[in-house]
Amino acid sequence: MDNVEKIEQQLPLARQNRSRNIASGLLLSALALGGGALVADGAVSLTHDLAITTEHAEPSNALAEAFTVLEEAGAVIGSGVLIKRGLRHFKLAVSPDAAAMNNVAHANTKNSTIAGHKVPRVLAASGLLTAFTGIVAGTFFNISNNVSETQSNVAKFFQEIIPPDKSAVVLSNTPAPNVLNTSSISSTEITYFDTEAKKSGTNVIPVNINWAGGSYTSNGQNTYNLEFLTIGLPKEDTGLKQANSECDNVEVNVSSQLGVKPGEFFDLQGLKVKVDRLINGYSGFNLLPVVLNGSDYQRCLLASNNGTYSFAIADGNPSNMESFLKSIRKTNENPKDRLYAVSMKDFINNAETTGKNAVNGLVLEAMLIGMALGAIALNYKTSQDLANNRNRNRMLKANGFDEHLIMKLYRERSELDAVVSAALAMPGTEIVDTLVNHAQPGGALGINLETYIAVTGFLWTISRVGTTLAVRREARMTREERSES
Amino acid sequence: MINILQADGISFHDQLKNSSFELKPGFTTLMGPSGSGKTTCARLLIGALSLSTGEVRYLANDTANEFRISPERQTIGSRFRLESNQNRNVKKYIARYCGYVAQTPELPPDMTVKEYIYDVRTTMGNKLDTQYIELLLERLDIAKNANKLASEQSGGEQQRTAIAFALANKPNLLVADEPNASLDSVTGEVVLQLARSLANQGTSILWITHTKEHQDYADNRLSARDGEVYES
Repeated sequence: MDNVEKIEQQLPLARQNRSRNIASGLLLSALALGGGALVADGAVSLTHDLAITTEHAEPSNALAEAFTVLEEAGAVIGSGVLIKRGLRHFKLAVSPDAAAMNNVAHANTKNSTIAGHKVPRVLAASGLLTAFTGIVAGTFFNISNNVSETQSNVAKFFQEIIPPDKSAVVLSNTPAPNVLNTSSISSTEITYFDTEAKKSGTNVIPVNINWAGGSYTSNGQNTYNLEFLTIGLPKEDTGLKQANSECDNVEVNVSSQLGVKPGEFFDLQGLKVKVDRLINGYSGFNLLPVVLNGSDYQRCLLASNNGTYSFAIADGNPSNMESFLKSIRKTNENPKDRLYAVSMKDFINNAETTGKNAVNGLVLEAMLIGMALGAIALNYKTSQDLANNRNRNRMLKANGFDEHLIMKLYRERSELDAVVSAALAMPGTEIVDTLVNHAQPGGALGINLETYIAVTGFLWTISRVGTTLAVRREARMTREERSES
Repeated sequence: MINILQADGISFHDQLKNSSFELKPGFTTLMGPSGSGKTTCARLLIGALSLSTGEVRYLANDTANEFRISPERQTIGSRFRLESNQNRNVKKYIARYCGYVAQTPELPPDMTVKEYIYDVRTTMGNKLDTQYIELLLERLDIAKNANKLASEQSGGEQQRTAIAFALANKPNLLVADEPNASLDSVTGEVVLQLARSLANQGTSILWITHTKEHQDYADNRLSARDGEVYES
């Protein structure tokens, strides 16, 4: 079985339409006789210039990289902190001096007095908010990895409909198109592409793609709300019959992950659709691809017939492809209306990067806000502890207790606060995860140990800085303060 | 060991003016009304406050050993440093030979007497004489409270615990800042007698008070008035 037949088992391939080729050839000949000006100005109204692959803009990696660096740094610090705490507990068991210092560091810390109220330490470990935010944000980050994997997989899905010996480009009017960040190409443009494609022996596949909600009722009992990735392809590429004008007999090919059988029905964005064939799904967060023929996609799912497409794929032999791309390049009259062609490889890479950036921006923001709140809260708690123990510390200092020793003890307290906060935040994250899984089966990831370690590292860093500043400030104040008699 | 302590022109903002005096071995009282600068003076002597002007010299038996504390140089960096290096070594020396007891004991409520004395002193790096401390606790009549939390003791017992803490490292200068202030008269008298007997055994005591009768116990007297301390 060759590659083409294998792919056809998932999704029927487009075959070149001989009669269409002939008709196109005749038309082009007529047009050629009529003069090139007609093509430029006339029936197709196409004034686009085509930018070739090397000129396309790459999506910025800055956010994804920034977040990765941040999380990796946090993980390194957090690992160090946890190892240190482990060694410390071992040392406490074997060293009386270390045990004595530990006792002094954590004396009188079962409660913190904040704003005149005694608050149990477990709550006063106010990095809880940061830890929770951080761990949730970290979980989202891991979801984002799956989102980007999802987008990448979908992009690869299209690659699989291209024969391996053919080269392919994705045509779009965004500089860096990817699966869910395309724009619209009109049917007029598609027709034009198709015409030129036939001349050069290439093939053009117009594609619609988007997310859509839906539901499936299993055994007439349990109804699951689901997200689908809808894909509209030319009829000949899907093997699906066209629906009637009322759109009440739409047929689809859907991922086997849905658990339906051919002939069964499910709801797709309010449309009752019938399963014609099952296709392979892809692992990852909640990806259930469903394929419709392009006409049904536009008329029934989008409920419009404006004939716009998300992008188009052109495939062919490399020499034919070059010829095709040259033929569709026009003098650009309006720089804003550019069309871009990117290689399939870049299309897939863009999908991964954009997916990461889309979620990473929110995640980074959540983590920064959380860390800022945590910094304020932890610093405030340390300041309150210092103020509440001012007279006690003064007494100790008068008896020879070194300022550096006081710093050491408060750092030990805040370090334990950071570790405890992150640990206490994990049940909260587990709840969030469970809710996500309930709303979208398969969407949850479970507690992510790496993220917990990274958040521990962030909290430790914040509390260390805050404690250092607070103790220094307190030391300066007590050196310069006025006494009472 | 600190034998003699000399203060030359020391001051602290407007709370203690240009004061010069000598603190000799024995039991010394520092008496004056409230707000006269007694506590400020005491805290300057043990290095807990930074001098505005002047100098404090700490002379050991062998006068070749002399340590000085002087006002810290104010630089941009000094505002952010934890402690000035300038006086840090002297303060370590003072810490070794001085003890301090305040008006209120300020004990951590979650620690027992034994934990407070042993754990805190160990954390400070002090080498403790266990036998001496046991005797000290007996002398102060708080041996029975060794495993009691500070918060479970009476005010007098807490103050005696604070005294035990101050003496645990065998200082030869104990600065007691009105230690009787929060005690009943009986307990206060016990503490005063204890301080006098320590002075008899070689520990120098600086006893800060505004009770005139305490001066009857003194070998030397200092007075404080209007923010100035002087020998009387």
